[in-house]
Amino acid sequence: MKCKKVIKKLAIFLDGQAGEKDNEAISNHLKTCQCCGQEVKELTSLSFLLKQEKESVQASPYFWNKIEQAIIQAETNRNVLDTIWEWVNRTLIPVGATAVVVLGLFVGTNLGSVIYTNIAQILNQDNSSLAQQEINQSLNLNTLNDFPQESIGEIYTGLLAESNLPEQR
Amino acid sequence: MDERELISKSKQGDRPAFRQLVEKYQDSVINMSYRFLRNKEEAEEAAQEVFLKVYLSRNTYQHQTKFSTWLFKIAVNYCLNKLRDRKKFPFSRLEEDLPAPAEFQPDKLLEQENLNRAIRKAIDSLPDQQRTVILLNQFEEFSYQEMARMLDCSLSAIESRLFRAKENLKRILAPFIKKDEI
Ligand SMILES: [Zn+2]
Repeated sequence: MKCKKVIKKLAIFLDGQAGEKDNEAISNHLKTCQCCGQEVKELTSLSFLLKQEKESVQASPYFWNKIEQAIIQAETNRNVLDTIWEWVNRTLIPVGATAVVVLGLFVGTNLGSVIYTNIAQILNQDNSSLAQQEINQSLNLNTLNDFPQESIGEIYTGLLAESNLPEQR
Repeated sequence: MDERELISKSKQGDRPAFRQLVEKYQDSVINMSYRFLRNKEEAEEAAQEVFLKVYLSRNTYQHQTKFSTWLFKIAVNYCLNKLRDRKKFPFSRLEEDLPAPAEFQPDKLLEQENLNRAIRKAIDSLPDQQRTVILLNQFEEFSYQEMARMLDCSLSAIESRLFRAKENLKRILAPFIKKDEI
């Protein structure tokens, strides 16, 4: 192992947490390298120095009481939220769902009757051939008239048209 | 009652059991918070907030992780967020006013208070990531593996952060470091 790598691994080595392979390689390296030996001295001295800082803070006598109060407060808030959520689940959601279904039925029924009334109005207008065309176009009924010449379908629609013509005129 | 039992009972909402857990760890959490925040009142409040968080999220704790690792993960995150807030709102800074390490002379080495201050100032001058690993490694003696789990990073990231932190501290605290002592 080279000095550069050894130096990077020295902290974990001195903390006794390097892997077996690294441990052996570093130990062997340190037997002969003075430069890395110096680094070991400095790191050991630093650890020793940092441990001198012994200032410590003690918990106040009411440390636990404040935590307990906060817990009680949080649990009360949580219970209130749970109650609201339960009420929403039990009441508001079923009521909301019913309202949506009722609204759906109402809109559906009204929409149906509006469309039906419009078609009836168009049919009752004087220019009924124009109306027929409009309906045929919107419902794509023209395609039904496109029978091949002299086919049964064409003869049949022709007969129907002839029987209707005099009345329309 | 052992720790496992205390945790199980706390999970069921047993407050006296949780109190015992708090009493076991309160000093470590307060002291670590103090080393981050450098204000005694703020450190105690931080520790109380941390224990409240721990209690409220106790059901997410899994026994495979050491309780202290889980607890300190919450504490470290809390303190780092506090420090971030301080940077955003510099007027809320409440740290004790410490003189810079350069003002200390090696001949005052024997004065414990001066030494304490120099060490604290040196640690405080580190970037957050390096400071976190130094505090967890030097003062709380967490393993590299535990620190990696706590900080959600790789083992090699912990190694390199510690390496850089120690190099910086050696440089800042050079007047106090004995070069030929072992
Ligand atoms: Zn070397």
